[in-house]
Amino acid sequence: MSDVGESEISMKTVYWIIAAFVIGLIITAFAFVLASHNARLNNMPIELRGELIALRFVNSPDCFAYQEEGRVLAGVLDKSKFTLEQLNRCYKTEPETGFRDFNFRLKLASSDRSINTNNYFNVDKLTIRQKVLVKDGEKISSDELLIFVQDKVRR
Amino acid sequence: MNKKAVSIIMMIIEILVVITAGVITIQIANSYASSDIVERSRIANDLELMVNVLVGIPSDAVVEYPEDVSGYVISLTSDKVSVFTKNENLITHTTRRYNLPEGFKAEGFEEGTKRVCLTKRNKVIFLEGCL
Repeated sequence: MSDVGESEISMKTVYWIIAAFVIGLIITAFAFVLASHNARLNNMPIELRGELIALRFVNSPDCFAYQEEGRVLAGVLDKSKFTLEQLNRCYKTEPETGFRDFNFRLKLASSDRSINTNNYFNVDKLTIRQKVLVKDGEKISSDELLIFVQDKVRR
Repeated sequence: MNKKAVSIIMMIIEILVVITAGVITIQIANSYASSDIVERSRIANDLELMVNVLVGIPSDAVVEYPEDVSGYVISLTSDKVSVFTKNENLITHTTRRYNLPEGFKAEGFEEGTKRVCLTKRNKVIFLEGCL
């Protein structure tokens, strides 16, 4: 084969190496654009998701809602239940991957003490405020439950 | 090998590469452009939120999913809801995860059912066809 022929082949090889890289890049970028478009179409406000998950804290007897004789008083917190152990029974994320889920810090406005779910790292996205009644023994008082919401922490 | 033969081989390779790239791009575009992916993501999102709402209700309750889901298979377990089509590879299932309180369970499997309901009975959430 002549020198001109060999040079043409090597030029073509270089051209195709570059072309393959560029084509691969374009296909990947295209896939990303479509994926983000899809994600935008299904986007759900964090406030809505956070509030719906947080409903359980004040309404479920498996969380902090007060229960007497089988009757659950939604919106009434049982102060004796307001503990970390109870919170872990009520909402616990996967130990390894749960940082990608919603996590919460709960605090009663009248108290300094707060309790956190197992993958809460103080990266709040929003705060939900809920008016509640707190039953502490025989005493019932009005209070506000502050729910600090954390969503998808990056490693 | 003579120059002409090499040139023809290179041309065939070029054509194959262009066709392959075109086919891949069109396949990706088709799969995303079809409303199926969006639809099933929406169904999975909705069901996940419905489960979370049911957990936050102190009593028993029934919620009907307000759309026809007969084109899908829906599986509900204690940690996730999956939406997929029949005979689909596990890796492409649309899945949403949730965290139920201790003692709670979720279960159900519906295939080709037009109307599905989530029913909370005591501490169990069932996915079932609506009556």
